[in-house]
Amino acid sequence: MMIPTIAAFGAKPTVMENVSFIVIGFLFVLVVLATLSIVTSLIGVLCTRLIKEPETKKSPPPAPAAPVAPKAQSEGIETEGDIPEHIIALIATATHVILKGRPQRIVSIKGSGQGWAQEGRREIFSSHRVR
Amino acid sequence: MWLVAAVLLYLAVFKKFEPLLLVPIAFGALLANLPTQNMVNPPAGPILSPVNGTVVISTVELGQKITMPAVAHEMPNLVGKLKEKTEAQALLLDQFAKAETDGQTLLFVIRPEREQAFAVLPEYAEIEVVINEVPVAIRSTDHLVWANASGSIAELKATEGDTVVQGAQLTQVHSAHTGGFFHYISLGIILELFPPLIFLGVGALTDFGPLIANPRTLLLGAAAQFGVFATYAGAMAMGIFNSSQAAAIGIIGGADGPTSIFLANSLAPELLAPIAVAAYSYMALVPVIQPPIMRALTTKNERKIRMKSLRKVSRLEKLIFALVVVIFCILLVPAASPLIGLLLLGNFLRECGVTERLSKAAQNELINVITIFLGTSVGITMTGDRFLRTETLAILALGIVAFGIATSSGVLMAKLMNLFSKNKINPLIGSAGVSAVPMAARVSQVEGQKADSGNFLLMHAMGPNVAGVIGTALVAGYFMTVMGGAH
Repeated sequence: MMIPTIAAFGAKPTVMENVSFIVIGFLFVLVVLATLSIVTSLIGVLCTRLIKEPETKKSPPPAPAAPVAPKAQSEGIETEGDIPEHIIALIATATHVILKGRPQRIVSIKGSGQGWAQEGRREIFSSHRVR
Repeated sequence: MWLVAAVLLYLAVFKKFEPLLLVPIAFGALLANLPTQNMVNPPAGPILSPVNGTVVISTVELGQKITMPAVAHEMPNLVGKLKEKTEAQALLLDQFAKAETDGQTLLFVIRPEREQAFAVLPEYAEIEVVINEVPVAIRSTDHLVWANASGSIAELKATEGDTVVQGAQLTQVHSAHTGGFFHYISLGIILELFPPLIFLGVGALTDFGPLIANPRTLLLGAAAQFGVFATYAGAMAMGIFNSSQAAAIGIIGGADGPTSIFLANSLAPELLAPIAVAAYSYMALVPVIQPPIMRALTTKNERKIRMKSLRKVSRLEKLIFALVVVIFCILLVPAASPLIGLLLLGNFLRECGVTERLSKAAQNELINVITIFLGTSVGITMTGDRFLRTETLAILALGIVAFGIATSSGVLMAKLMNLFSKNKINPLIGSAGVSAVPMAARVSQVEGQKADSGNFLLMHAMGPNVAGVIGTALVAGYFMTVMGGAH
């Protein structure tokens, strides 16, 4: 797309050549990333629909009750996979202790996933100091 | 240069400015300025003609021993760009004196053919020098071929009066000891292997989720690239750089070390060391450079804007995104393929969930090993006569301007988008459009919390931050395509 327009760009271009080089270059990046933004939005819309539709057909699995948290609150806990009841109870107790008994509600319990990725990120973050 | 290395080590160790990179760079710089042996010396081998022309002087004889000093000066192969005869003469005589002291040998002088080397006959100056106790006249347009390795002349392919073409073998140097450690390690930069491998690791370390959840932040990454173009204009206006050099300097504004090295190596290898040092030093100084600009361009109310929580992005979406970006960007800018391709390969390894071992290797062992090699290879190019020049100071000055303009462009773009959008963007995340992952995003978070302690901008800022990486790679590809540096 841009190759034929400014293919003969010299070592010492004129002011006009420089201006057109800069304008075309900046517009090129803007247009490419704007197009990517639109495409990504479309992918997002498609994926959200694809994933939501099968979910609506399934009846939500009953959430196990956490013994420490009140029953009315523990029912809404979203869990990933089969987390045993006693682990949920343990997590509820731990949050209760850490928050020193302040009012709380556990909404979701998820595994932290790839520990290596997190460790890598932690190392990179900890190598900088923010003033 | 020892002082420069000491300052860099101090900044890295005691001030913790990007120590993972600055320590290898600074240590490499120290090694570069010590009389090391078997470190940087290239292997003995064929000596090639740099230009089409005629051999006017040859000092080599079969079996002759030639030596390369431990700390080699960078010898000029041409003094033609100097306008004044006296200046050219002074430089040449000085270099000949240094070469004599160090024992470096001038092997050939090649006079370029007028029709092929020049569009019009240049005005050359004839300079009298003494070679092997014989006075000879060298033109300022003549190319000088110096010995670049120690050894003995094993084969003689050209003698005085021969016509040679560019790349033709002039002689063959033989030595049993061939090539220093860093000569081979540095091939990773010269052959452009390290920057794409670093990108593989960066891709494996980066979560593209925030960008996919809020795709309009791609525009903030695009806007920040204005800093690159503005700096290009500034470098051209200075008049001491040509267009390729100006482009390589401009990319510092992208705040992306591997891309800066990739482009500098391709367009202006002679400026690789100062560009790499400027890019990495300023990346380390992001928390110092960005906040005043961010505060100056925003009001307190703007800094307090709370952004809507990001939606959860599914694995399938992340995988499709990686494939779409790689296909789209490579089709548009093939020159940026090594960077974009490996960035998204790394991300695909991370997100696909079935290559955890490969993803771990890319995130840890691979990127760490390459960082050590890349840093020291950049540092080892920082010899005194190459680094302590006016150009270096100009590049350092232009680099900081580049960072400033890139930061401003991102913030202003966010403000512009707010004029047309219901879902307001906190302009502080615009500054993260310069790459510098994840430093720039952390700066947005810290500044946001200064205005409103309950505001969490980090994940929102990761969107433009990642977009900045893609944007800078695109700009690099654009420069390489236009300047003809693509391989």
